[in-house]
Amino acid sequence: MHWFKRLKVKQQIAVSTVLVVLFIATVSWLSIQYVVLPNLSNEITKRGGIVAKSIARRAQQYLTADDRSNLLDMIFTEKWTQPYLAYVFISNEVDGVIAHTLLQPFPQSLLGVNLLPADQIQQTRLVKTCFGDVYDTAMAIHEESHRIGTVRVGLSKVLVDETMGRLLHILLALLALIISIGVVLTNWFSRQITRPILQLSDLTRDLISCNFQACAHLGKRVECWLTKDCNQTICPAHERGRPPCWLLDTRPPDRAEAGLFSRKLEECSRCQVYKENVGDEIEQLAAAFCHMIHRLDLYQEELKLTNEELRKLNRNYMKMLRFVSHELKTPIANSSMSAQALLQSIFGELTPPQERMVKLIYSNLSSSMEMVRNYLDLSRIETGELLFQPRRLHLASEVVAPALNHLITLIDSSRIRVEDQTDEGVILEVDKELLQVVYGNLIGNACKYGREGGVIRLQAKDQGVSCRLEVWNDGPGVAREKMGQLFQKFSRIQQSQKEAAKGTGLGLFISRKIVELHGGKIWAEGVEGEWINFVIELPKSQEGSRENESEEDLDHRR
Amino acid sequence: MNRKKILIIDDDPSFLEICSAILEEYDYQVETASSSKEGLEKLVSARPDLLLLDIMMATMDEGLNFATFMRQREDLSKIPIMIVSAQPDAEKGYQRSVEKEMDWISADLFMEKPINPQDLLHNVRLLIE
Repeated sequence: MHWFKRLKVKQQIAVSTVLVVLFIATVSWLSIQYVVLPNLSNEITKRGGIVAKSIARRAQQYLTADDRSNLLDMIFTEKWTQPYLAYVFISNEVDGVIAHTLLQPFPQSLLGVNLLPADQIQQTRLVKTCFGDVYDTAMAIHEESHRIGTVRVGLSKVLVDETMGRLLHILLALLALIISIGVVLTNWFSRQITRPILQLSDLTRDLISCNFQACAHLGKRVECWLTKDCNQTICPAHERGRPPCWLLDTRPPDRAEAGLFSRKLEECSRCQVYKENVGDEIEQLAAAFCHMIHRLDLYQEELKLTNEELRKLNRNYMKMLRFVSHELKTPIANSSMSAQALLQSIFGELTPPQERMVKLIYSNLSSSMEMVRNYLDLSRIETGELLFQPRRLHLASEVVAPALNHLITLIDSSRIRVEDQTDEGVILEVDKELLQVVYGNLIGNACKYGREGGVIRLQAKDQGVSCRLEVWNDGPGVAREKMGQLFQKFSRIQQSQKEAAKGTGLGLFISRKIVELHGGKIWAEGVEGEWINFVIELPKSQEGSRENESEEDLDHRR
Repeated sequence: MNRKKILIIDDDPSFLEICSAILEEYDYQVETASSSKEGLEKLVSARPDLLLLDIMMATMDEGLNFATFMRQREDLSKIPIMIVSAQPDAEKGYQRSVEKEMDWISADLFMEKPINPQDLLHNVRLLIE
């Protein structure tokens, strides 16, 4: 039955109904063939016996009176009134055939084909004669207990068969008519059932594509009090708004209204709309569906509004963050510069305790500066104001070297060795500033979280359409299952209390956003406690960017 | 020996103070101005050997406009300009102008705040000598 389940509902209904009709037709055909037709033919052949009996009864008087002319008249009358009769004749033991209805000399062979034995009154046989196949009935004519003659009546088989054939045709035509009506009705019924289901599935498809206006035509009954001119004051659905009355939540709305509401519900039993609709399952389903869609639509609208508000709020928040960060940046930069000037002995040598204090001031200012930079980048990313200007450049000289140069103080103070193995030939189309920020974040992290006296290894490889950049260090790294969290906003995988205070938890998030802006990917690999490697995969060129510059241009700029 | 003169234009008085202190320590004569208008007056009167210019003052790109204006004036076009800014994006503006109009370069050097005092001294020496 697998094939049946694969059919559509409409086809399933059609197929099952056709099967039922065919079954009925077959049973009818078999009963016609094996019950009705034999009985009918039996009835017709019996008819010969009845005719013979009636002739025998009347012939007895004429034979006794020896009135042959009346006898002949009687059998002729009988022959012409019964169209199936091929012949009628009367014979006796002495003279042989004494009267017959044949218009030709009587063929004597006919006498012998159905001889009635002496102890029988009637006998019917199918015989072959010169008139074709004939049901021949012989009936004895008795006077008291003597047989005085025999009536022979021949029913033409051909004529009987013709009549049967006609009957059969009529029956077959009736059967065909029943089947066709059955098929048409099935089709109609199945369409009645499947049409709303199809409509519902269309609606669902619309719903999937977020078209919430689609059910407008199905939902016209929802506003029944408008279309049916109902009494609004006694309709409980009217005040409850959108659901149609047959889907109404029948729980009272609140205590104050409870009495009125239950009285209103009683009115429903008299309401024509309610009576009409409460029993129609498909209509109910459609209405429920529309109601659901309507609710979803409202819900989506609400969500959209809330979303918009939240986005606006976030934008304002980010703008404020940007303003504050920017305002903080100037004094921090100034203080940092002053502290550095003191450390560089521009204003004279410092005593060791003085130097220690100024170093502390400088290092705190530096981390504040980094935080401010991160917040500025974050606000630019979140407000979509990040300036993205990719151009073709040499990675080693235009990105990695300046980034390292920027971090030289931090690298020196962490006593970490940097192995820059960046391939000189790597040329990419990237935003120089932004990629420097990424390198700054990754190398900065390696310095902060790496092993003291450890190694940072920078690598970059041209892979054809993309480049693979790596920032590796032999620091403790993080557990494999926590690596995904690294790139989330404000995420800090705390190894120890000391490290917790080191960053904003934004550096890797910003790096990820920048890499994604370039159409690339960033992820971490590593073994906890041994090493960690940050891998960036960047496309070599940006779509829709300017024409490629020649190598000379690049070299010129270098 | 003739002391080299440096003019700093920035609307942040603290930055003016710090730079003056550092540069004066190395025997430079420092003039300061807190707006481009005041800067232009001092530029004409003092004739400095180097100009340190902030980009963001009253407007977003006041410094760049000022540098462009200077380059177009015959008498001022020879003075080297070092741009200092807290805005890393500002360098993009500087680069853009270089790429757009190759016949003039509005600044000779760009430095992002916070500035390493040693780098500042190094670059000042480079531009003056």
